[in-house]
Amino acid sequence: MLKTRIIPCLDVKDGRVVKGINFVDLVDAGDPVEQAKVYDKQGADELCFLDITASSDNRNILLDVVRETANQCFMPLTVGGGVRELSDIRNLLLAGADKVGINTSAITNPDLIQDGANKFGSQCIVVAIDAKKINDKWIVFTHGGRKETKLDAIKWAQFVVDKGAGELLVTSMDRDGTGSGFDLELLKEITSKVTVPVIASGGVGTLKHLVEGVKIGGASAVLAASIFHFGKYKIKDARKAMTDAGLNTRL
Amino acid sequence: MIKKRIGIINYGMGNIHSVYNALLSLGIESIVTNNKKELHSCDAFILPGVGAFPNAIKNLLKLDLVDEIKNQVLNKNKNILGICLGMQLFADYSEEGEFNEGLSLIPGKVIDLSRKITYRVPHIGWNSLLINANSPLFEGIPEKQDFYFVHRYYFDCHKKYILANTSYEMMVTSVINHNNIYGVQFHPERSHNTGIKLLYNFTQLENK
Repeated sequence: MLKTRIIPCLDVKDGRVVKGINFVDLVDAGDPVEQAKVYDKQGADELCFLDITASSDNRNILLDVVRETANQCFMPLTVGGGVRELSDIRNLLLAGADKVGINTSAITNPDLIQDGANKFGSQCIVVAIDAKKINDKWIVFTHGGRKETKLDAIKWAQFVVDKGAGELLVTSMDRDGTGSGFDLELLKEITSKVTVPVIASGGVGTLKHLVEGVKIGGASAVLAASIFHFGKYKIKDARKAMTDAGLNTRL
Repeated sequence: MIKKRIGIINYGMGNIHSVYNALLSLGIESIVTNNKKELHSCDAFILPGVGAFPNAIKNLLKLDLVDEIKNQVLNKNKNILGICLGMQLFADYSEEGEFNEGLSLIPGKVIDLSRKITYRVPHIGWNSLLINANSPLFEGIPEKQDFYFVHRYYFDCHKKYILANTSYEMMVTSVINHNNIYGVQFHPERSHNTGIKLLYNFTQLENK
């Protein structure tokens, strides 16, 4: 039986793990390689590594840091940030990523999703969607939450899956860093309309929030940063809370 | 520990260094190569893989490795372990993208899971093995241990080649074996200690 994944996320800026609130006011949370080792030891189900300023700085992802992080862990690694071309996907996979996250470039160049899926398989193409609620609609943002688009997040989610995305990483910008829980309505809308797995992200403050993301939001995996980085909870605490709520997790 | 020289076949698909690192953590010497001379010097092989089938087989042909792999495995009887896409390449053909022939090392075909099940596809995450047949590959690995899967296609073959299945709405082939040829659908190199143990077991298999 497939288990619900618990995914700590390293938001990396200038080679350091950071954590912000609503995508700004970033606080230093350590060295990515050291953090990766900690989560590997804790038995995290997967690790997500996002270079959050690669697109806004218009530069490529820090491949060395990715390689070093990948070398330190024996768990799956999803990497995103500044992926613009097929060669970026290839370089990340060769650096040790198992899946590659595409966000900004999925919008500026949607063919990248299709070409990436054809070349590397849809199983390794994760489209990250940063959404913010504006006038009762969820709108997609790019460039690490800095640029508003005109895209409806729900329709966009369906579109990228049709293009070949194998998984979606859905982040609520309204909830990110607030600790007030996932945007469950956003998750429900998306998980009911796509057939690929969805990773819920943005807003986890308590272990109960993780359970809600799966039970109410319909997510296949839950992603969190602050509650793990600052030592409030360990992976095993999250696992226990989810098992107690009747969800299947790894032992 | 039996010290063997393991050749990790480098055919331009991803994830190669994860396998190298996993072996390194066990103190096992391996070389990442597509050089035939170097492949000759190896005792056993791992065919890793993150990627799409059409591209993978094209790369193997371009590097002139198809006949070489078959020679090492079928004539010299060296053990080989295919991981994920690497295992799928052992099939007769795959329906991923357009029709493409595989290496035909284990009779079978590679089929799109989404044609068979209603669960979410790709099958991504940790799932357990239902072991059909004993194998030294599973030594020291208790039943129902979880391994990491990330795939859209699966290996459809006769049950006599299936060492273990994994339940995901249907029985999905997760470990196959035919003579000295082994394949796993999951990523042992990404499956923490249990996965590393399985890789270790492969390196300790006797040559048949």
